[in-house]
Amino acid sequence: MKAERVVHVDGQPVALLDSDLTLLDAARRAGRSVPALCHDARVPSGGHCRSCLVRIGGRAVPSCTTPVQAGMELVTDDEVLRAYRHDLAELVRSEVAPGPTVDALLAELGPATGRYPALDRPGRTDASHPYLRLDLSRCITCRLCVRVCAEVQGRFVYSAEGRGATTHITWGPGTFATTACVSCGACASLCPTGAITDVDRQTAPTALDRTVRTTCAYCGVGCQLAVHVAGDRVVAIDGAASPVNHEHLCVKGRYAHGFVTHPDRLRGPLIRRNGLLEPASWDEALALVARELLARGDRAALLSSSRCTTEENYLAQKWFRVALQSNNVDCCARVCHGPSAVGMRRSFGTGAATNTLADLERADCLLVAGSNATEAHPVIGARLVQATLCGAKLIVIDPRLTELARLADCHLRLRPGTNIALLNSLAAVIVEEDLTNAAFLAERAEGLERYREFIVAYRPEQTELITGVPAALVRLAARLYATAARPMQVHGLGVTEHVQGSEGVMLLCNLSLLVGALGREGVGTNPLRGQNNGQGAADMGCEPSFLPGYRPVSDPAARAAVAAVWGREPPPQPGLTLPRIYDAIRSGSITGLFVLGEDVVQTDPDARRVQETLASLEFLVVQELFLSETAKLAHVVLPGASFLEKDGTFTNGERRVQRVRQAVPVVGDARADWRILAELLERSGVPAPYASPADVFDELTQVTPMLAGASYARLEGDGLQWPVPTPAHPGTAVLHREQFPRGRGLLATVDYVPSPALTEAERDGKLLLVTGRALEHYNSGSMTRRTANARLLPHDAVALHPVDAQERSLVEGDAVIVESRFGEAHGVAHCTNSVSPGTVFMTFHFPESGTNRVTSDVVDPLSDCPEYKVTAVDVRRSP
Amino acid sequence: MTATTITFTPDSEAQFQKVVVRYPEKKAALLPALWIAQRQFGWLSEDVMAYVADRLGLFPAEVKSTATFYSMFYKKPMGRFHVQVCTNLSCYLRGSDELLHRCERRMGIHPGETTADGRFSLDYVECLGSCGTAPMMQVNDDFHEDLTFAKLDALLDQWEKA
Repeated sequence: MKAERVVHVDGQPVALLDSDLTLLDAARRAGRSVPALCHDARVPSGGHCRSCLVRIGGRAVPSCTTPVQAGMELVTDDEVLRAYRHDLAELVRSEVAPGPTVDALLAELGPATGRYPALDRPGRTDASHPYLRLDLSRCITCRLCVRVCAEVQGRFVYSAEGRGATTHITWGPGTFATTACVSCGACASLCPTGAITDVDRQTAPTALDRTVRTTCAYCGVGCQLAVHVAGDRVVAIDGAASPVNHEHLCVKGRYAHGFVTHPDRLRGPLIRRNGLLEPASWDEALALVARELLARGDRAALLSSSRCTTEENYLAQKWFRVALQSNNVDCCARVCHGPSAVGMRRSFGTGAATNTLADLERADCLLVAGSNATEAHPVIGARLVQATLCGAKLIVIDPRLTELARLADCHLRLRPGTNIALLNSLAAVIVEEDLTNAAFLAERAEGLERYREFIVAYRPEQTELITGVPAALVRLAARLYATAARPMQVHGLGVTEHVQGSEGVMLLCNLSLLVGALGREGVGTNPLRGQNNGQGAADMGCEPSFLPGYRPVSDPAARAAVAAVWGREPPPQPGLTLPRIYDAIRSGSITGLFVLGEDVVQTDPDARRVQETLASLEFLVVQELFLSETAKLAHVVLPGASFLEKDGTFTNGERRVQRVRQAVPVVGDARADWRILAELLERSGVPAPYASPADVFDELTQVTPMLAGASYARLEGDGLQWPVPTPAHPGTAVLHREQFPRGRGLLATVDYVPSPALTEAERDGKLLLVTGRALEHYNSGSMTRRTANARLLPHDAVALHPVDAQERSLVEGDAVIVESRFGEAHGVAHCTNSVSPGTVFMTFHFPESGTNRVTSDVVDPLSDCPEYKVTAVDVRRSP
Repeated sequence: MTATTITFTPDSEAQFQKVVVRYPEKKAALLPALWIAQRQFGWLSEDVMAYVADRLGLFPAEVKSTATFYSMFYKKPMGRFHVQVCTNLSCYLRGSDELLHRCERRMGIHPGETTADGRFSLDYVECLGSCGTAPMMQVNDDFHEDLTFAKLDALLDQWEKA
């Protein structure tokens, strides 16, 4: 045991903890209230304001930046320090416009006596941003905004200009809305004086009734929120302290919550009568749904939702598997990270992220493949930016010049659709230059001999013509990755949503295996889950061939195990995946479909065909927040609840199961989705005696081995990372420490096969369309479009290279048509060198643009995930 | 990008290439790069700062907060003749305040300002390390020492006609 390290704070002995780094830490732990105007735990200390001065012997030192050492004798309060602080307060008062917040802050330091004349510093003001208001006459130049913007978000919007008494905080030349600001709101949340504030808070009632901690329902990062509620209304949202987001949030998580009470919300069930959707009672709607679907049995299919809670996904698949005896259960993970699950399961045996988000800071080399994380997973994106600014090497594989690509040591800017050739060429360099981890390969990999022979054909000098990436750059990247002590991968849909998506993921696994970057901290292969609960939905068996916990439905023992809890076995044959469900609807073998919280008509590829297919159903049920494009086709629409209106759990991309807690009541006559599903189970003859989602969770842990030791009580705080096999198990941050579930890791030999889209583009001189997300919106946009985020980004842009634009006589802002063999989409031309010549990028957030009418029906045969990321298109001016 | 029309001349570019490889990190070349830019453009506009940021892979705000800290980086256009009168101790004792006032009267401006015709900028500065020849001033890159009213007037006459 270590000898106790002690300091004396105002004569009182305090034993130091490892977490006490500065004098301020020690003083505060001793219960002393040392003022510290420019200090906040979220950003490194700056030592700017000097209000935290303490005395050590005869010296007054800033406590926030002075390291604490055992044996020190601190004085936190005496005549001298009080005089310092008072004088400081008077100086600040001379520079700042009086106001209740500033006055209260400074009163702590001493009374106003007008010792110094007012400087009359002009304060810049701005009201151009939908969420932020700036009035720098209230600014005390503490620089918290400058530091959090630079050192947490990495945008460098603010700067402290000038020197001495004229130092002031400012931003670029134009209005605030024209700066590089990404609206994360961190500055407003830190500003101690109200110089930077949230618009939300300016109109807020002063008294809050409660603050509810919950999990954000946008992307798969799983940020923890502190939701401030007054009455039945969400007033504002802050980040909560958590290892996931460290109180940081993005523009969606912090601000985009207004949709909850939007007038468009569905407030009661609807039933189609004489061709029109009309209000109906819950009793009538639920009876109709249960009767119609039960009658169809396995001629019915379920599209569950990665947007809903784990409990809801569990109930939905249980209803289909038990009551309807149908394994036709799939969810939207099919169209995003299905290939990650399939690929990683083939390579390692488990289809989930190998490591944890905290490892982003431990890695010394980051390989970001097909992920525009700063927009699609902004809080992880910010952490990647910081890791890079702090010295980690960054390799980015992306056809676009994304924010991360701009920061990268190596940007491998490949032709869309050529991942396989590029990833193989990286591996080829590692093998050829003998940069592999031989000991790791010998002990934990299989197929090395075959692999060595295979990979020679993919030397970068050979793949250069396919990928367009210079061989020298590939070699440089391979060396950076292979020689790093802790190389870590993160990947996104730019890897998975391809005809060879699953195989692309396997090639990433190959790279991890070759350099031995698995089974320890700071390394690994980590898919960034696109949706808040893609992991949870898949974990719960919302896949046609798996029961909860990834036990194959074809396995008699697995069926028997669930039957012990469910009272009845599910059918043994795997059901149909989403694209095959559409096929079956078209062929007439499936006639009923239940869609839970998903707008497939807007988000699934070849959307026109999806629309026709759904329109041909005998019976379509959509459970939704809004009358989405899909819901408009339904026979019954059931109004569900948003994440702020219900309880449950989401599992984020690092396998962390976290609580979702109800903050406000459900609007109108809508109901929490788990209640609707429990009612449908009852009406289908399956007992569902759940008083709350906790009861559902207790049941699902009985059939999900990796969650067997979890409970709501244990999820309090920061949740648990599965596997959690027993009630005493602490959860698992790093997978595959000793061995892989499949034994040895598989070195997969995968040949590059050009996508039909590439062949078509080459033959017909077409452009290649890449689709993806923008920061301000989330997928179909049904939530974010109904908030002020729509003011930040009001339409889908069609990004094309100036050269391609010129060839088509297009200029910035032109209305354009994007056309493929499958259909037409509409957007506004944006000429930018962030896309390479020959490629076009488009988001899919607005139904009127119809982006997915253009995308193809080509799928990855291993996972049935569609190829959203390459489509051959023409772009022309809209007539 | 707004700075597309702003670019280093071949001469500035050559100097830039020399300083940028001098340090282990590009960021460290910021101050010398700003000097090169100021010599070429005369002052550091937002666009020039953005250009330097772009060339060094920095954020514009980093460049701006650095540049605005130093009084010798100019944030507005300067006159053809930048008259900097030393008012530190040695020069003061030998009448530099009188010289400065004379400059103000003749130019019709105060320290920190530039004449409307863009001919003169006037500043008072701290010690320029030439106390032995006080009072003195620096105009552009040249020292003018052992100043008297007559000497100052002659110089100003000459520059007014230049």
